[in-house]
Amino acid sequence: MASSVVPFLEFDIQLHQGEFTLDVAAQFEGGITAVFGPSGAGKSTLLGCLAGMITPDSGHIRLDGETIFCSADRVRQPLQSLGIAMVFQDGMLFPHKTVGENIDYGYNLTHPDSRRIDPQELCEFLQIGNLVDRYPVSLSGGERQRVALARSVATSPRLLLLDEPVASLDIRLRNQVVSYLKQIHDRYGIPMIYVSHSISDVMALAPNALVLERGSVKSFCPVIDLVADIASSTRVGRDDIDNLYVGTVTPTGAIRIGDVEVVAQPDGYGPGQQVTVSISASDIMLALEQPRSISARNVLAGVIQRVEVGDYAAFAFVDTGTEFVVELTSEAVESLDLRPGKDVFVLFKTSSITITAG
Amino acid sequence: MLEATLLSLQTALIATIAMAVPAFLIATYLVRNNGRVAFIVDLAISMPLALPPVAVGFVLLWFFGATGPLGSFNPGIAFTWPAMSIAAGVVSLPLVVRAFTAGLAEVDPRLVFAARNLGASQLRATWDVTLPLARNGIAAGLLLGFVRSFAEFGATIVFAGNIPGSTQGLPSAMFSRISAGDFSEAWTLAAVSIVIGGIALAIHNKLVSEQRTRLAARSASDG
Repeated sequence: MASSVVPFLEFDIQLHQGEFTLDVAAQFEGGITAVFGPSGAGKSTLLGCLAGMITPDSGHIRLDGETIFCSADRVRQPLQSLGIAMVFQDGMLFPHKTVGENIDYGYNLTHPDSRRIDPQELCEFLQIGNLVDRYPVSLSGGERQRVALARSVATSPRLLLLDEPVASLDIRLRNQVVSYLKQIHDRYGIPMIYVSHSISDVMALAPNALVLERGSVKSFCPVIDLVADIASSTRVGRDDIDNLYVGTVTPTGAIRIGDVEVVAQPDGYGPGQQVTVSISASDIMLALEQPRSISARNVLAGVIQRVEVGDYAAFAFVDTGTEFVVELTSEAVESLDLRPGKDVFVLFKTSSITITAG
Repeated sequence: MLEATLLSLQTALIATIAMAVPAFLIATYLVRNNGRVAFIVDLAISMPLALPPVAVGFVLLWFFGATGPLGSFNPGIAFTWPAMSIAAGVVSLPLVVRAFTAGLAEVDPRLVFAARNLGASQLRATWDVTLPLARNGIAAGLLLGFVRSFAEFGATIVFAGNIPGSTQGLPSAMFSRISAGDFSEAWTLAAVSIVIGGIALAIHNKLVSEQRTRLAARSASDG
């Protein structure tokens, strides 16, 4: 089949901007791909080039086998017909238009034959249906990002670019937006490129990450491999790793995540309601035997899949039916002889669970 | 007297309408570019601010005359009513461009890009996003251009003359009355210009202060 030969997105671009040089080449499959790296690495510039906002000095970009930019052949498809939608860090909603008008703007400009997504259904799904008559200035940060997401998704894009869409949000709202992104991807099958400098969002969303450093590709690897880098960085100034899940509140007030049920306090959320749950990797403990008298309410049996030991920390990936990342010290890994295949128990307190709607 | 007032209003209106699109294009260029070419463009269109209006009229007379660059293609426009609008337009253009530039500088280029990204053509994005967001600056610029055109005297009297019933607008009429010692007529004309200019300027100032309030509110909500 041709589609298995032609990568979904392929690019090789060069750009000089003053002191900064961007020189990146990669091939992405569909699905969600993360672009990861410190600020100033060229992540946003790369997105700008892919979206047609910035013209590279040289190179080419091909989407679905179609050349959308090629400096050698002087090809540059018009910005408005690329079908590559972008969500900005601060939303970039039109301040003089209502939420509804913002969302309809791109939808109305989309050719009727290309419209695959109903804006109204999308608004209900993102729980912004009640905001349509309001102006962007009156929205909270989380609402603004959901509206921006809806506005871009409503154009039924071929590719969705997300430029640190959760960077300005607090942890709860970040989890919520990340969870919506995941669900949008599953629901509508839109390929996404997710730019971030936070390992937690990247881990929750994308299997693979293109890591940029000073304008060049440092690596293109499974996101899980990035955990080894984190384990080798000092704790000061690095990201916490969060386990992020979408779950459902059970009739007994617990939360079902995949195959496991966790004891939480979903106050204000009713049975059957979908929630986003996050548990920091540093709030989880491992035990080799099932503890009997312990205050932590969540004790889950699992098997270690992988252990990453660095200079400053270690991480264990444990499959309990749902995967948990657990932060440990390298001493703990050694003394408990933690290695892949070993049976362990995952322990965490109810109060370590952060719950957000959606 | 009514004739002179109406002629001045007509002159100012035509000059303002004719200036709108070129001023918008120049302002858009100046907002996006700050290289050497932009510096020269800015300097060239701003010259009428620094020159005596009489000199501007003199240059126009040469430009549109038989010995000017147009040579035998000169349209014979000097000393006709269209010359009044041209003189007024050239003198007002820098003010209009400045006000437009201030309005356009307020519009975040990423908002325009967002519109393009959602499927809008450049023209469509300008219409749907740039113009509404820069509307106060645009409206202020047009009003300022109108007021300045309505008041234009120096360049006009050199390039268009002072022919009653043909090229004698309100300022030239006033000049003629004063020269002739007819002060009561001159005062009436002065009163008319104070009323028209005052109203236009009041609206202009309101638009500018609204724009400032909006900017202040925006930076407050950002911070």
